[in-house]
Amino acid sequence: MAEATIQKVQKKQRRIPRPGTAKYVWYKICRNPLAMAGVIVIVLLVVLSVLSPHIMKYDYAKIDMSNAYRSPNTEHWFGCDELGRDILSRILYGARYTLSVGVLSVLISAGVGVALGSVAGYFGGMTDQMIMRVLDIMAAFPQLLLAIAVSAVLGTGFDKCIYALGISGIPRFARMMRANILTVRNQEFVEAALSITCSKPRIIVKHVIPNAIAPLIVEISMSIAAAGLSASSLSFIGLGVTPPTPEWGAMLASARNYIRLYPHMIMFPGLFIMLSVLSFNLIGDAIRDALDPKLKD
Amino acid sequence: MIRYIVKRLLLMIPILVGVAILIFTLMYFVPGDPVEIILGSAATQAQVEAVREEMGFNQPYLIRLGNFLKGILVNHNFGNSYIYGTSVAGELASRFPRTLTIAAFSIILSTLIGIPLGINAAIHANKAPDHISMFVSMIGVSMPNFWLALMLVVLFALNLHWLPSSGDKGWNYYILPVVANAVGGIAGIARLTRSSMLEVIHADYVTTARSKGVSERSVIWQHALPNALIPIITMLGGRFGGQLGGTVVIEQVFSIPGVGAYLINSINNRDYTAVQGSVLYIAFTFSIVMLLVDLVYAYIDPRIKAQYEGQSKKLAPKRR
Amino acid sequence: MKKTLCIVLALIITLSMSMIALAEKTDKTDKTFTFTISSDVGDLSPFGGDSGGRHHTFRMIYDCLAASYGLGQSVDQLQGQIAKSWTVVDSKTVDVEIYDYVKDSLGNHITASDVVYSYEQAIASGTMEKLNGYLNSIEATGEYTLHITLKSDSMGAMEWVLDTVPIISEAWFSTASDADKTHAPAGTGPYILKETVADSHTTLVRNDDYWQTDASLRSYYDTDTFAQININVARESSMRTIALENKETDGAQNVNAAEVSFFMDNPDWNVRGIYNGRLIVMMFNNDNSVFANNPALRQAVLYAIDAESVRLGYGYMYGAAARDFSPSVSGDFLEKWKNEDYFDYDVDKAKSLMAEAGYPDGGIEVTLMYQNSTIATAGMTVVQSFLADIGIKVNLMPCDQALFNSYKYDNTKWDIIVDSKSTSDFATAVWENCFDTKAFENGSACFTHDEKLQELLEAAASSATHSDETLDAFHSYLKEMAYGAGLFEYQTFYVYQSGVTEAPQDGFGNITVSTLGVADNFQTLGR
Repeated sequence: MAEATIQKVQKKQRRIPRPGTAKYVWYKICRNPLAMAGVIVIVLLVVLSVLSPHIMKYDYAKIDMSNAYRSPNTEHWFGCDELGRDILSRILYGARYTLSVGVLSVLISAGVGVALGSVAGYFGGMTDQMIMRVLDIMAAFPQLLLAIAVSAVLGTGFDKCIYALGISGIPRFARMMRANILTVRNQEFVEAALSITCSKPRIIVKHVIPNAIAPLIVEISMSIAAAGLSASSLSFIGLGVTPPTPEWGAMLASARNYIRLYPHMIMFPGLFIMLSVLSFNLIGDAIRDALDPKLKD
Repeated sequence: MIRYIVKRLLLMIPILVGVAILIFTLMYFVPGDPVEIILGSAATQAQVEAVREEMGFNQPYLIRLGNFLKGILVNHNFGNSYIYGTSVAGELASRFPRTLTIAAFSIILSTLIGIPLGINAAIHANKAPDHISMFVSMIGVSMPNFWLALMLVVLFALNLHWLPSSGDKGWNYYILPVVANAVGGIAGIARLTRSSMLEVIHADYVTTARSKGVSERSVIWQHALPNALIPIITMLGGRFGGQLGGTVVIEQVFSIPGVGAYLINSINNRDYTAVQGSVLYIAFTFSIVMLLVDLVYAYIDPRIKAQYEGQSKKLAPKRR
Repeated sequence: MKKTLCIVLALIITLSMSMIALAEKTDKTDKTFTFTISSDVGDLSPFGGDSGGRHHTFRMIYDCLAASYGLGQSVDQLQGQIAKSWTVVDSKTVDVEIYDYVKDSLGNHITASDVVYSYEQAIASGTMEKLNGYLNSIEATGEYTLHITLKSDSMGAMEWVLDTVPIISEAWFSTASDADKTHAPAGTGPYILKETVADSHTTLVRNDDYWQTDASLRSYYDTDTFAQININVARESSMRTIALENKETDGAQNVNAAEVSFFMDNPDWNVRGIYNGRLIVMMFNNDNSVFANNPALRQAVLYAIDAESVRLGYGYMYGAAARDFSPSVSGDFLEKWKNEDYFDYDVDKAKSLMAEAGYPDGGIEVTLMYQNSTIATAGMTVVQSFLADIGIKVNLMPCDQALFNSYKYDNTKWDIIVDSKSTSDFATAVWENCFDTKAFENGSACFTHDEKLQELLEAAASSATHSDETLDAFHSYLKEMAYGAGLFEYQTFYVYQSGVTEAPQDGFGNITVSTLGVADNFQTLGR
């Protein structure tokens, strides 16, 4: 099926789009079977997650103690957990949490990071110093550690996990953006804009950011995968998303007590985390290939 | 060069003070305190309140922050742990080697496997060996490390009986933790090595070397690799921070009494002194490693060395 | 030639005899036991903070005046450790005589003044507040005699005062450094702390100069079967299971009940399931919530929950629904409670109580606070689903230990609280811990303001009026008012290798390694 899709797309797009455009990125993804597989997996997970309450035989939250720890069988393909809940239903329903933790937290990091980095890089001077010193302090923590510290303050829960991961990723984006802005700032087109008295914010938004956006997109796509993994680590140490939310990391966290006799409980959520992170990584790789001219081979 | 190192070390001081204030403030806002944990569940409310008052948990933020900073800056001491009653600095000094062992060996392992894997992929770019090694390493980077750790334990300790499952009573107890922690790094390094090799492999000097009849092996290892190393070293420095973070989880799984496990338990117990001490310790190490990475750059790339030295020269007159 | 042969033979025989003797001796002294526990030993200094791991360790390093053999022991059933004998003068006064040859592991001689010093330090440490609540005064009346008075005549108070305070010598403690106190304490017990690495392992070695040389006078804690005891910490429950199965340890505490069946069916292992005096209780916010002044609603909630299913949700495969607000192993637990209705699951009754309470169609939303762990969350998810059946929407609020402790006395944080309570002696200890108005700023652990409850509690808890009638009066009144109720108790599992023949439960519901009995051919598995 994947191949058929690719062929169709290839036929449609005989003309190669101009490098650097969104179309070009898509074109590259379509030409890369692994990346395409990644896209298909993610889309499929999203669709199944949305449809799961309607198509699944079992409610993801329905407790049935008589089925507790049930191994995979024809009724329950992935078996049941410690409360007799159908693991397949939980995984499909829970995809919405796991996928959105990665995406939303990275959007927060990128949003705040880009804003801070652009301001610092563009204005320089005191502003730059202030922002960068604060970020230096944050960056002196390994990222997971910062996320742990922030989640200790915020407490546990789906939304708080997103904030904690989001905040911990800010320094990376801000530094990267600042570096990009610094290189872009001195280029001719910015001077040209200045000479026709464009306002500074306008210059940032209209000229500087778009020119620094390619590395940003690459960074975002790669960070989503990493954020998904960090989220499951947070769950594991009792922070982040906690059960009974069927987020996959939280499912792993509660299943880990039973790995000896009931390994299916930890196997399936783990495989799905791997699958989704792998997909994001494959997509991210393809995007990087498409946007980073240095990596042409 | 020495000037540059000294300057970087001096710059670390305000950052570490900033880290101290940040972690203190974070912990201040974390609700709950260690009193009930020390007293046990049988203590009554009045008893708890009395001890809380005595330990100074009811004092205002600035006073507590002042005491904390004074402890570090004047007495060079993190204080005693509320839960263990021992000196935090002493505890960290005995725990840190374990964390460092895991982090350092993970880095070494992922470098030893990752770089050859990446080179192999680059040499055979876009052929089967490239795709296979990149896909396999991609799978490696996509697994939660604690999940992998548990799976490794089930396989190597439980089923094969080759290795002990948890604890730290010898070098063999570190094999599984290091492997579980290293796998994510292998993939990252392999991928970066590949792309960075591809960049240099078509460069003129490599072509020249080839045309001179230098053996392919020597072309790759002696001409191309050294030039491809710079981005890899950057990544290793960054990964080291990641490994320090990763050990938090790995130590938890394998019951290894490192700084990470100390930190997590201390957060849960609100053992403030211990949390602050371990975070500062990790931040300090991290900063030192980043400095070392910069120095290694300078060693590898004379251009950067010139830049460092230029900077310190420029700075020097200003200070005087 | 013959002579030489004779000499050689004689030599060989002597050598081999001495070898055998030596071997026998080493065989006797060289038993090592490796034990894996689920929480860190924490601070092993004499008066360090409380922790589960410490409970499994410190009694081997320190002797107290007396020791309690099993749960619910009364003062005359205690076994003497440092105390040679004691005389109960009245319910608040006891005279103690100690052995005159007690010494710590450094050889410091222990006298009555050292005992007094130990009690003073215990109270000064701030970690033994329960003792502080019970002890009025302790004074030395002679070189080896003591006079102890109590503040209250609560059931269990005298036992607590006698059997919880480690005795150390003033000469050592007053001069020892902090590091010595925690890492190389001079204890009075049969084992010496050799090494402790927080979160990892602790090594104890037998004190060959243990002061109590007459084995018949020793308490059960003080048998010294093993030359060395290794205590490993593995917080991950699956890692304890695997360490056992991988034969890396001779025994483990807190083995996952869901996985314990594996060891039950296996002749290589002995499984010991014990009730350790712990009880999961549910309490309502009786002050600032929908449950205040509405006993019918509280009862409705309790009847709507099948406590057995909640227990299974926790993963406690073995246990029982609670029959009182105290564990059934309590020394004064009344037999008749076991056959009474105690909020036995009855959804129809719950529904009619809901109507009586003014909520015929439900429509209530409440916050349930509990101490976060994956197993507790699973259990609370079950509670959530039971309460959904009677129209109560429950929002779960998992809190880590420290947060839970600071919120539990805050009447704005929760509507229902699920907590774990324990007693080492009497039911009244649990009741007092939760309901004694004198100990709380806002009534009780669940903010009750009920004078009758307090009167009944005082009558039941005071050793002067403690009787089946007063106990039952409190039990019945609390059940009627349903301010809170026990949910279930459960067995916790110790798994040992088959060489362990005996594993007695101690006075705190735990099993301490030094008390284990082993077969003659016991061989350690531990690495």
